[in-house]
Amino acid sequence: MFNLFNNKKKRIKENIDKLQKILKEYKVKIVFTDSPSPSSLLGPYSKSIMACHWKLYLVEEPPKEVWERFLQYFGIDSKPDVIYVDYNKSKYKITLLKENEVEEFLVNQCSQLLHKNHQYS
Amino acid sequence: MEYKEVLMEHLSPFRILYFKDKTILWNELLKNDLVIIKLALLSDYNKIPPRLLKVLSNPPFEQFISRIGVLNIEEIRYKNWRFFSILPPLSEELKKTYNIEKFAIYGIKKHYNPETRLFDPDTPDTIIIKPVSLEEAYRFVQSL
Repeated sequence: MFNLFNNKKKRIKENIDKLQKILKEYKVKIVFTDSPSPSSLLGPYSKSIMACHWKLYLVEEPPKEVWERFLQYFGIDSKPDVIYVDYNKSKYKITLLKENEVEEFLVNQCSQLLHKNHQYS
Repeated sequence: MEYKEVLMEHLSPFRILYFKDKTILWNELLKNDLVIIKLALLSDYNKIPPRLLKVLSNPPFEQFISRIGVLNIEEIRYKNWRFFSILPPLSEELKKTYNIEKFAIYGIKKHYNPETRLFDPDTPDTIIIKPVSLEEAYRFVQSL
């Protein structure tokens, strides 16, 4: 039992390390928690990098026009650097992030998502 | 950090415009980059059983919108017709790839499996985008 717990902890840490590495390498602009939202919103501009054990879809910067329509579609007046989209029961829960908040926020989300998942161990 | 909840009608295009006058409609269509004047669901096989033919007669709105992406589509409505204007930069990319002037028909071709007598869920659909000339599009709109 103790071993299983340690194993899980280790894998969560590995996933978080990978996530941090991706965030350093790519210019991620939109993060989705689940399909089918990325492609039904962005179409061909939804190509994403999977992270956090397939729980997060990281989308790189879309063309300027598409990004502007994204902000308009969701009624966003401010200028966020990164948008986190959680689609659940026909409701979009959107978190607008500034550059310096991105890493900490996503690491927290990822670790919560992995802890919640009982099959993951 | 800001937090926001937005209720969304599933798969509604970025913007929907309504027109009642045919001349205004035509002028509006001309203003757009790339307009899909018709959506069609097709099959690669001739002898389709009637229950599947019924499926084919429904325009594949949902599949079309979820493929192109809500944020790349503006819908233009006239009576009970729906035209779809594809927005830039995707419109530019598609025009180049499919050699489209302005108007096109968008088809999704499903693969029929004669053995199971169903559309094969494991074979991906083929997308067919067929250019339509200005004259043909004009005649089509006039016929509505």
